[in-house]
Amino acid sequence: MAPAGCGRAAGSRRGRGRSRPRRPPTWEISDSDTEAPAGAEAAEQARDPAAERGAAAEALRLLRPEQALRRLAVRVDPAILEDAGADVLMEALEGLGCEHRIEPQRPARSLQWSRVRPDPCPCSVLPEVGTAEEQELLLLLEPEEFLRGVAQLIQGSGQVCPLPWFPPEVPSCRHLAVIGLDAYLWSRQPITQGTQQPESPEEAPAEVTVNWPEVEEALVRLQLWANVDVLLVASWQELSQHVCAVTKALAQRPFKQSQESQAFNFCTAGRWAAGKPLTGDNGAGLRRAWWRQIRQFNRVSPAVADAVVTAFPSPRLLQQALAACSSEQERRGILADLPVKATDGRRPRRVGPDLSRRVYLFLTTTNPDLLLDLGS
Amino acid sequence: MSLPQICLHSLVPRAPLFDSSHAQDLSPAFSARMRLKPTVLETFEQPSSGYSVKHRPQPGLPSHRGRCPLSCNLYKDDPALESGVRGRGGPRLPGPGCCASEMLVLVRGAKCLSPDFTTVRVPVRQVWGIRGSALGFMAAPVRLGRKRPLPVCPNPLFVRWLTEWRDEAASRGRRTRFVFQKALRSLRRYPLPLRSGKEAKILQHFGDGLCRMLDERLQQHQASGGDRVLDSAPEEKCPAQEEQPAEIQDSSVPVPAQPQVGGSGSYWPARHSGARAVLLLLYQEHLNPNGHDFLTKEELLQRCAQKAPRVVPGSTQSWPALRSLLHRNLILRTHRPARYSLTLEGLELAQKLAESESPSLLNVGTGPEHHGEEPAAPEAASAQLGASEEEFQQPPLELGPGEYRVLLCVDIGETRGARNRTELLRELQRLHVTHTVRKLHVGDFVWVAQETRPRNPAKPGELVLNHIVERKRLDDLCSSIIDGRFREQKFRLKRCGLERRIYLVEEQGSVHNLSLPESTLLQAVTNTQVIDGFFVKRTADIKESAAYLALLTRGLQRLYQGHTLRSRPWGIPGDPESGAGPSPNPLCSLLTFSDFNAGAIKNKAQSVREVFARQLMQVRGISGEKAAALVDRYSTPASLLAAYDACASPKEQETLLSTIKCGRLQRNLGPALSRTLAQLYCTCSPLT
Repeated sequence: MAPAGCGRAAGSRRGRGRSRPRRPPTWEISDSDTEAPAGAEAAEQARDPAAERGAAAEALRLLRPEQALRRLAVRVDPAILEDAGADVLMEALEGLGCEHRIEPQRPARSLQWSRVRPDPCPCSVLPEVGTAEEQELLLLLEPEEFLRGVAQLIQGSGQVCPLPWFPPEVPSCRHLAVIGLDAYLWSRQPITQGTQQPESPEEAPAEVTVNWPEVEEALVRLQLWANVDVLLVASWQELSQHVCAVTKALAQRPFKQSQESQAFNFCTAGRWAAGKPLTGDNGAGLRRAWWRQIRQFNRVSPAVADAVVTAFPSPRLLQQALAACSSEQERRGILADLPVKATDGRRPRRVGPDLSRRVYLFLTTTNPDLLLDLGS
Repeated sequence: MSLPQICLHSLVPRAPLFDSSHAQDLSPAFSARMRLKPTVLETFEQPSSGYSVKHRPQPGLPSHRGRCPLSCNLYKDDPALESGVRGRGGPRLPGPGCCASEMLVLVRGAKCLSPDFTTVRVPVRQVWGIRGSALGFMAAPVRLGRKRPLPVCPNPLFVRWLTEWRDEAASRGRRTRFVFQKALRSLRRYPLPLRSGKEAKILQHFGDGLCRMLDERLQQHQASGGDRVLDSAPEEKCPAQEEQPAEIQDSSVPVPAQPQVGGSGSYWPARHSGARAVLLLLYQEHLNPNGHDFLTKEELLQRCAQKAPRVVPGSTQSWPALRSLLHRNLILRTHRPARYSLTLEGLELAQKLAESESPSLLNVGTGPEHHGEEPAAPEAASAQLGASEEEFQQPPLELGPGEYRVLLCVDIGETRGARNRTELLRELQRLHVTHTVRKLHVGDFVWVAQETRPRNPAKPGELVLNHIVERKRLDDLCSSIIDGRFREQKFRLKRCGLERRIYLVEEQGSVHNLSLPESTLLQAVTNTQVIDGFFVKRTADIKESAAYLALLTRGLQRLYQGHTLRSRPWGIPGDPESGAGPSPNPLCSLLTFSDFNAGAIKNKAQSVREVFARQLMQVRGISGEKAAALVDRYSTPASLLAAYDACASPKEQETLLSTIKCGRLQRNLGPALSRTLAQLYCTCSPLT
């Protein structure tokens, strides 16, 4: 079962451009590191292009955040429930609309996340849908337990591995959460101050003496050496807010990452930047689109775009004007001297030679890798 | 009227050369030559136009300091600018026939575009009016026997009014008389007619108020039956102006002979100039059968250093020669990192340059004067050159244990401005954090490993560690989410080349006065952590942030203790399995600081593909993936337009793109979007 699905996914990745009788499988498979096994029937389904497309569409639908949240399950270790405050957490998870299971986790007192596999599984088309286990793990610690580990870290010179608290083979994205550490340290402060002088050697090992600066230092070490972050919260309430936020983020993650993987190497604002819809069939509103197109060059102000669009109210007109020029130089400077309307009392300007040159090159070159700007 | 410093002064043909007594003796050919003589034409690098002209006074003519800036610059978009103006043949001024067109004239002494010049657009006729006498050096519609009177005051009315106002102010003892006096002086130096008071604003000492006064007065004048100021001036002041336009109209002046004094069409880089060296190097590369027809900047720099050390720029950041060649479209730049190659024009010029150089340069570019000591076979020579280059251009920086120190590098933006910014630096000093303040193009804090005993003391080797911090106060976070910077910044941080990204959220008091609900902010921060893979650190205030940075600095100093660091080229990930979990050892293959910072410049040079994709996305309904599919098929606007041109009918144009497959689902772009795009790109009338 597994080999069939994986093989197909890999095949389609390699086979970009390979000609096929019906339709080339040109979709992009994202570089998700875990490729899920696919069901045999899914592979069979994929033979038929229409069904294949349907499956893919379904898979994409499943990736959408609102769907994904329903497919996410939070696995809660029963030991967490021993604490009275845990009700708040369970209620919050209930309200979130995702599944939560109470089952023993390793390590104890930890939360983990997994995905419910859809049925039938369209993993052959979109492997990230089938990804079952999330790599995130949130371990809940008592303040005292945490401080013991901190003391251990501080004493250990340099290297942090093995980390206290975690068994060696846990997933890679580890988070710690401690409720009420602040309060705990405050409550202990007067005692340590009071018993300052007569601290007997017998008592010392039982009591962990760690102060805030040491905690801070340990946090930085955890960050730098182990990439572990520690969530310090005051209450269960706060913890549940965070858990919910993490759950929502995890639900969105495959979708957002799949979107990002196919994007350009530049940041595009929103899904598409166009604001105004085109009205009717006559192409009204296109002038505005043309104006925005000019704005896509670096360093073009609205006034400059106005000037260009006023002089050449369509891309074709600009192209024709370029064609009508008799020399290179003329073409290069075609926009340079267009006047730009002065704004609020400032001196009138012109479009200038630089933008003119860029627009000219842009419209005439056949080399998509040509860099337009003079500077780096 | 005296014109003490006016530029025209030096150009006016007062030199004996133009004296009528001499003229009779001159044969037409000779006189034509002589007419060009008083000034030396030279191409003037006014990037807007290939037609600008500048001239320099000759000894013997009344001089002014430096170079005479009265230059002419044709306004090129005017279709009336016909033959005699067009063409690549160097600087030509329009003949008097092109009355309809305009010229740009650079004038000194006015408020300026550049420090010394300003551009004034005037109808050619007017310029001609002056030039007929003043700029007669070139096109000179002169019968040599006749001496043209100088149009002593191009703006007689303004001069008169200003004089009146000044005198009136003086008689009443008002201080405004100085204002008028200054303006008057400035106006008198200005050689060209002004059409309105507003236009006079380009001149020094002409403020809004004064310009308005002039305009009002001008209106009164016109309303009371006064002539248009410019075309006809009061007789007693400028007698010449009355007859001049008429004369010009019907003058049978031939189109000016074209002076071939190194016209801008035939740009000729000076000997020993950087531009020339670059062109020749690229030409050699072009001829080299084993070459790839382009050179990177490093290769260029390195070869230049070998051949013409004097033209190598001091800093590697900017190289004016390259810029100017790019500007003239003689070379082009593609890809990242940039590759330079010759354009067709550049190739032509380089060929001529190479011919004019010693003939030895013509063989594959390994002339004996440069490579005398190298093997005779050119291929071998260039192969060897290539091999040694690799080492030279990327001197891999290696810093052994103890050879470097770790410094916190603070973005200058974090230290300027608001009061609490300086507090950060104070705090860092108090905590004895070794730090330096620089302009960072991405992020707010990074760490550099700096050579302690640098080989080059002026420029110690610096590698940037793998960690980067973006600091955000909660209110900043709010506003950046609202205006979209949040997304953009994260996007840039993810591509900055450093893997360990830290989001430092400073809560700064209460969260209640913020424009977004707390839950939204929490989700945004959590998404940053979970989806974007940032390490999120929360602090209460700037003091805590500084303490955190101090701890991180110390932690990094310890983390890197005893490790040997190496530089890696930009673009190659330092750690192939980054994100696969924590590794016990820090990343030791690092970017140099300059590579990192240069790679992160915000408005990087755009490629044609990028602009095209961005442009397509401006059409409603075209998402990123659709734009990507379109650009995959038609990678430049030229290719798309050509495809439209190849269509047999408008109907075909409308459906040209409809079956382009988009996205992972390979859906068709569809007929509606295809039609919209056809309308956008095929409409030859103005769009609505």
